[in-house]
Amino acid sequence: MTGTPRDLLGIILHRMLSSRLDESVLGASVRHWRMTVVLETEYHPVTLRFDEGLTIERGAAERPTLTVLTTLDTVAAIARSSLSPLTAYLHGLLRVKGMYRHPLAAARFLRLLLSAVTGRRTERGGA
Amino acid sequence: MGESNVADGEGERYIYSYDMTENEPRRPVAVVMPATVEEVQAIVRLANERRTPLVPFVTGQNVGGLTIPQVDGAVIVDLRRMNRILTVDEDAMYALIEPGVTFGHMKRYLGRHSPGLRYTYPLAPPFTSIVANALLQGLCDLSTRRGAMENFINGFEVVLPTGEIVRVGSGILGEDNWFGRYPLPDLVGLFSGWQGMTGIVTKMAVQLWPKQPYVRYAALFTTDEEQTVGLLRRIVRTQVLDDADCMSVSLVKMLLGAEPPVDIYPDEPQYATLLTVSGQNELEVEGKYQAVAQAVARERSRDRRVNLIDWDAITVLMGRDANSWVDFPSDAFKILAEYDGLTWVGTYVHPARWATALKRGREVVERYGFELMAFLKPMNGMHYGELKFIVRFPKDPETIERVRQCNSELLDVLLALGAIPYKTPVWAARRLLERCDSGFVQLLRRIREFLDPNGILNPGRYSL
Repeated sequence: MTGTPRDLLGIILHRMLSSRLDESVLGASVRHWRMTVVLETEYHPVTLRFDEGLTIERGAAERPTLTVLTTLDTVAAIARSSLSPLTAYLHGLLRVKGMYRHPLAAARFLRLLLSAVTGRRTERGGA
Repeated sequence: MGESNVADGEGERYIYSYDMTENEPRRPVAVVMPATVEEVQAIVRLANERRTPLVPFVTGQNVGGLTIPQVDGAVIVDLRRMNRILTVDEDAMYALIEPGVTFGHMKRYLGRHSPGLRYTYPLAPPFTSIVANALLQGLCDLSTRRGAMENFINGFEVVLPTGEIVRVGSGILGEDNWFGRYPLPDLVGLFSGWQGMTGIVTKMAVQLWPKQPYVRYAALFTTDEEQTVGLLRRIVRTQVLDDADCMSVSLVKMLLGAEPPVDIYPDEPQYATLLTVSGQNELEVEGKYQAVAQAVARERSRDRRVNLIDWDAITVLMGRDANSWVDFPSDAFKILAEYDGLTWVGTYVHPARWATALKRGREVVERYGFELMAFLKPMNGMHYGELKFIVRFPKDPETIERVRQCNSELLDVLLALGAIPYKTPVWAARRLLERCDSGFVQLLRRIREFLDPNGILNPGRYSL
């Protein structure tokens, strides 16, 4: 990952994802991704730019590959396993714009996020 | 005491001449390190006879310049060798301790010997003195429910400036009897809040509390000052919280490793609060948590940027370090020592003026170009609020001057709102005494002259 974000959401994402990307297999794979994801919450948007690594920036990039719309509350519920990503999606708590045009990008990004959450749960000793 | 416990070398005099604050250093002539109450008594008697100023000292972590001598020719009385936990009374739930006992000592001792009891811990280094913090009326992680740390004092033994040893509290009827301060004339007030001007406390009984088997933490994210303080006030008045520690979100970023200078953006959460509830079983804890969640939900219906996040989720989002922030909060704040300088203006304030104080204080800090490091704590069941602005800074002359101006302006803003500063350096105490009831000031002077007719204990302190 390059650069360190200065906003709270960016810092949290950076910490969550950097440990995943340090893993050789996943990290090597992500280095080949070329896509831009905007995460929109009730706070400010955050842009994740995958291009020979990952850069996280405050604000929304123009013409992103994907735009993920959710809330901190939903992310927290997924993090503590009280809500599955699929249930969140089906209930409209997690929406992904661009998913039909870029299904591979959507699958990759959501898998990376899930991997980061699951990894953290394992680190803290949870399920 | 032995030669090894008396020092007047340049190195020792220098080390005891300053602290991390912007307050002017001054070298003592010597440092003595007694280990017993008899040694303290002998030192004080000799000093009283020779009119030698004494400055009590334990670890020097007060962040108020409170152990810097205010006059030339002072001798530092460093009490760190008096570090025994003398008794833990399981029935009356108190510990009898010497002044050198630190929060770290206490936590370790109780964990090993009295695991059913707990003490309370401040947002300060674990090597801070319990006795000093209690006498300075600081706060801790039970203050939201039980108030300032002076409330935890059951009594103590103190060497008066004239050398006599006296006791206050129920311990006046002998050992193993330090259960409380009432019903008696409450003479704790002759020594608490006096910054070591009226006596040297050589042992103190402090209250312990049953350690609840079930504890749950959550983080509350809020936006502006009115919302943050308003919601905290409503939550605390449900009376389900053990504690609430609110801080500007910049501090959370620092804990997560953000490099200085750390800013806050207007479109992100501005404040984060660690909330703690506990109980005898999961049902009790869940009920308390739901009371908090209901109060938050009402605010969230007006502003969806208000979020209550369970600590399980926080540890996933922010990492395992988050567990250390709640386990022993004082250990998390190594971030405060980023530079060689650290200072604050801290006050206790009327709840109705708490938000205004926060807002105006923030404006001052930001106008001077410092990182916003604001801490708030609802105190004593929301009878009052605590508010402090911390500044970490490199100690170069330009920055020190800017810190002085910032703190001065902060204090004026807060005093105008009726806030009372705590752990006050001399300049701040002077500003308070200039504004406050003159009868109070005269009474302070009379009491001090009565207890210390030769003015040997910490002369110049508190602007008296």
